[in-house]
Amino acid sequence: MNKQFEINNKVVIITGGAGMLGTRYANLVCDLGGIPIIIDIDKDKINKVVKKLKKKNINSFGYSANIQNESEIIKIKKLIIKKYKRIDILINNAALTAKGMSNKGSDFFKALEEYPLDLWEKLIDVNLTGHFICSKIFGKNMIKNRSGIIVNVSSEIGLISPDKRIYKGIKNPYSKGPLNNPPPYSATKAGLIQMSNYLSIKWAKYNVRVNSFCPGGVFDNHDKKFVKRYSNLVPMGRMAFKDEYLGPIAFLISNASYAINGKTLVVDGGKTSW
Amino acid sequence: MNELSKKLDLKNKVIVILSNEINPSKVYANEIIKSKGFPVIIYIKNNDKLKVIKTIKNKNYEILCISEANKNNLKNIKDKIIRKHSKIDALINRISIVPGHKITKKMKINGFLNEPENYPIEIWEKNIKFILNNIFLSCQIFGKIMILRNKGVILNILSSSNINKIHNKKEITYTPPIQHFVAQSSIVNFTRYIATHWSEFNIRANCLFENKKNSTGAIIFMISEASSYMTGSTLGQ
Repeated sequence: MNKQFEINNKVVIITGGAGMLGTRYANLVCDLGGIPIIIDIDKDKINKVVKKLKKKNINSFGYSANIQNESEIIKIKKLIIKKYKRIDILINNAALTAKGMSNKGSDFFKALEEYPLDLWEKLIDVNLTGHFICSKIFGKNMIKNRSGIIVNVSSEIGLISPDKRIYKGIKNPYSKGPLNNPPPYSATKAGLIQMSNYLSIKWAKYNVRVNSFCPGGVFDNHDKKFVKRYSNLVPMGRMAFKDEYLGPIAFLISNASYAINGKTLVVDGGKTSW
Repeated sequence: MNELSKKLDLKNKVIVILSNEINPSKVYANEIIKSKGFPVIIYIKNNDKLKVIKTIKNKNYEILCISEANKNNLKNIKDKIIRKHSKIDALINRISIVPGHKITKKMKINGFLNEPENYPIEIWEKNIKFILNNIFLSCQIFGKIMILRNKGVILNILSSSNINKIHNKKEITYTPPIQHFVAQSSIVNFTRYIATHWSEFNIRANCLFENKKNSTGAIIFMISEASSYMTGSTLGQ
């Protein structure tokens, strides 16, 4: 493999590392020679992922935590430093989804005019404040080491507004109510892009690079009608395959992107181009 | 070989690099070779004496020199490449109005660095046409091959560097003139146009803003399958 993409022995924290894409990023980190450290809310999933990673002879580890709880993240940081001595890379990948909610997201997809304030706040807590806390706490170690990379996983919905027509008449698989792109989702994803820009300027002097990644929708056995409508909005005419974001993440967390700082990598099949 | 290695692999891929700067083209070519690809450099030499396509054989790749990137020259080169390789997998365009970002004594620069309010229309027109026509013709002529194959990648590289000029033995840095920025924005949107227009032919098109630092990692990422869902994007702006 092209040497610029290798991250040999780099300690890489992945929030939401036990989820659908997070697991793939953890395996990718192994393939690139790094050590993935998984932070996720789901303890069982963490154990399964870490067990698989350890089979690859990787000294991986997982921690269960709420990323919006600062004291928990500080504790985890201390444990990581004790075990691995440093933190090289942070992938802020966690996001609150209906799937992960205790009430299976009965209100998660409500329309803007009906959206409950407490749920709006909850999404902001995880999707924005959680990433701020992780960047702040793990970033301190990067500043100390005068070296680090942070990737904030945003979304194409952080750049444009979702097209509500594609959800019309489709039921969400959790509460079987109407499907929608939740109002706080695009707000938090856009905020994340600006947070990356801010940190990239503030921390450039410490040799810490911060970039945003804006992926498009990934096919995950969605409703056929939804897939067709979404695909019609994409010049490439389809949703992304699950493995199509490995290249962009590898690029952003490796030396291949070492001249890239404060930038937004948009990988959306061209959806935001027209 | 892991999943990502396969995606980054450029084995047997023919990658055409069109530029009026030879040194960055060689850097890209060498990196493409490291990823097992086959680069072909088309060097616009801006030399009136160069009446025919001149081929310089390098140890690892060919450099095809032309005096200007007009329709005939590019068509002849396309035919030459197709005869030899039978395909073009990727096209990299990198056109600059100030090669090497340096203004030398040889260059006629009367008015070139003027402020917009005093900018000579002749220089504006010459530069705008040079950049945009070259990119347009290159995409049109080499893109046709990609359309026929129903596959291809186009990467338009834009330079974000300042211009340096030696004055009284001192190097002074200038912001590039207005047409540099105007042309760049035009290329970004032209690239989006290609991305949306030719997506039905499975052709991806993206832009990369390059600075003086090494950007070869970004180039390999953007012309390989590692960026298979990326089109119409601009990286580094």
